[in-house]
Amino acid sequence: MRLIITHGIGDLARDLSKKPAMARKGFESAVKRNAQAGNAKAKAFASEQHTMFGDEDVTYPPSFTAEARTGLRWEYGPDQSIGDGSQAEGYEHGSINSPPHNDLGRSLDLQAPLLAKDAGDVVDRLFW
Amino acid sequence: MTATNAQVAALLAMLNADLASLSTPRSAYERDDAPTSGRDYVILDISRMAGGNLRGDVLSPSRWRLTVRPVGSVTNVRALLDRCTNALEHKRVTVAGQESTGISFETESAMSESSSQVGLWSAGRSFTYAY
Repeated sequence: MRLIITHGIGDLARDLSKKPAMARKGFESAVKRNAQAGNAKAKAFASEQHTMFGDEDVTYPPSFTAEARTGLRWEYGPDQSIGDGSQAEGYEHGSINSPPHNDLGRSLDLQAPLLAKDAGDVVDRLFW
Repeated sequence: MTATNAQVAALLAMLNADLASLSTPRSAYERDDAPTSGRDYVILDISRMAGGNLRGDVLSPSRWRLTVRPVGSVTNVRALLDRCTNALEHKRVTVAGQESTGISFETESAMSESSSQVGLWSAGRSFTYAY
């Protein structure tokens, strides 16, 4: 038996017309996944220094949240309306009395390359 | 691996060379050397960033984050931030003959008043570089 598959320019046009929607969905999920993972890392860094065993500002780590601004824009970090989230300024960048903790900065160091890779993978997957 | 203390010493030398040329000379300090009273000075912190491979005693590439924190009145903090930026940005940190990449600006925090000392303001500005 012989099977002949013929692709025309119409098939290509139909396939390509689906790519923008697929790309948007892929990028949105990549940004969401990485924002949540970045928040988990930052929260973990913050937890190292604000433990439940008597350290001050013990409700600082639980104030870390990640939420969507739009589909492609996410924001994560301490929420000043939750617990000790309002202490973020002095912890993240330090103060006269305390060195910078860089919880968010360090989470970005780790997460930013992963976001770049995930974004690249979204493009790769469009054509396979 | 580029010694951390040597890096701080080199950075402090770069900052102090510039701050000493002010009409009223100022200084940059390690955190534990900073004046407990007094004002119009700069505190320097550095820390290692993620990444790099340690082979033998060579860590490459190693990335570093430095933060300068001028302390004083609002206008003096701004002026000292400018001086620090001029003394550091796009310059290289040379330790034991090894030259870093150019120091580049990363981020900064809004200026805020010390919670313990009224009238004492400060702001942090951070930079990164690598060997």
